[in-house]
Amino acid sequence: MNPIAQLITALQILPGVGAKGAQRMTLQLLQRNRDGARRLALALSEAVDNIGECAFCRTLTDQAECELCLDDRRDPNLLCIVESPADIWAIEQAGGYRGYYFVLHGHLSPIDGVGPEQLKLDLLQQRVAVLQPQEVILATNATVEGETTAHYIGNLIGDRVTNVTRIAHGVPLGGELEFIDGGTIVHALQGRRNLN
Amino acid sequence: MTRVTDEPTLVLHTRPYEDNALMVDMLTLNEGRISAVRKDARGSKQGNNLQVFSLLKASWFGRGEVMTLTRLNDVRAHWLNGEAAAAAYYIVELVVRLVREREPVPLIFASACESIALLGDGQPTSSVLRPFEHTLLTELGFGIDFSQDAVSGARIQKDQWYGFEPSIGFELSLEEGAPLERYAGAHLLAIANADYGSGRTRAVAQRIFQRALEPHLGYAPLRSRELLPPRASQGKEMQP
Repeated sequence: MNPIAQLITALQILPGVGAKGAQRMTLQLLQRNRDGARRLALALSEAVDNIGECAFCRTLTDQAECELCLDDRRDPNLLCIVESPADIWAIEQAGGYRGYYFVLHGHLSPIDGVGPEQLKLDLLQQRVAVLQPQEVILATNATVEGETTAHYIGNLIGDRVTNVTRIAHGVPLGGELEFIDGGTIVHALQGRRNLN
Repeated sequence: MTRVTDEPTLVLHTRPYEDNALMVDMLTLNEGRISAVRKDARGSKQGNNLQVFSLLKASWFGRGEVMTLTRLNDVRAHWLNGEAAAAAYYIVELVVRLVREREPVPLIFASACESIALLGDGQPTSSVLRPFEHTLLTELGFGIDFSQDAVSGARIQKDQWYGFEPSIGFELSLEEGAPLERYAGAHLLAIANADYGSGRTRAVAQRIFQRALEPHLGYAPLRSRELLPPRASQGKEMQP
């Protein structure tokens, strides 16, 4: 395969990129922005060679321990469990949370062959034993798989942690009940909180 | 070009597909197991309805192996946890592994839907799963006759003991000694009458169905068993 065809094929590993899109990207990189192409190649190569998982929270990092775990200004009483590094980015960008994290890299899914072992829940138990947080926040997605995973972990660590909490789900900010689906309304009613 | 409207459907599995779509594996009343894609599903109201264990009326069109989902109506979601979730995943796993695509299995569909609804209502897993396993085996053509000795043709007697061989059925066992894999006729007759009231009958049914399913499941272990809550799975007789 010639190098151009090779590049077009390689670009198609990206989500949402088909043959046409890969062709356009190839022409953009080779005809209009060779410097950008070199920077992209270098960045990709370095990232693939150097980035692994943090030994403590399993997020992506080029160090043995990630910046978030090294930051001793964070609150050691809080540990938040998420499905993917993208969830950490979302929570950090939103602000308001200053504890530590643990990334599962997925959720329990028997049909995909993902069980407790694949999510490395033994590492999570070690993390909980070392950090001894007052509260573990289960911030897996509000899908059936995310709920199953949260409940499984809640059972697993419930004996060791005083508070195991689940993030709230329900009416989004700015949302009007009239336009919200039934499942969300049921959850919102179940998760209601006291105002007095 | 196939076009199906408002077909009763049970969502078996979803996974992200391309940029913003979901690939859905589903069991339907009249069309059997179908794979379909729902575009613009992730983060949308329609996509949120495509949760595993949801019962709904689905419309789709397409040709070839993968259909394109259009409308989703009358959605009834089941948010199950703990043992009930493990049991529902067990049902889904059995369907995905044993039911072939595009083969209508309306009784298996009805039993799976009813079982998941019962689990959602908090029914004990063992009394939900045993009737489902019975229906599944019967409808797949691996039915077991719980009322007849497969070798002599005589009726099962409630005060006798019987051995079981999945490919043959039950045979009167006269040997004395450790009844490791022998079952009392009374329990077999209870199963034949779908009477799962006794815990011992449910345990016998669990063992027999497990042995009957094993040859069809092959060597890969059932992953849904791993989902039993860690505390509940220890020393439990009634695992899915």
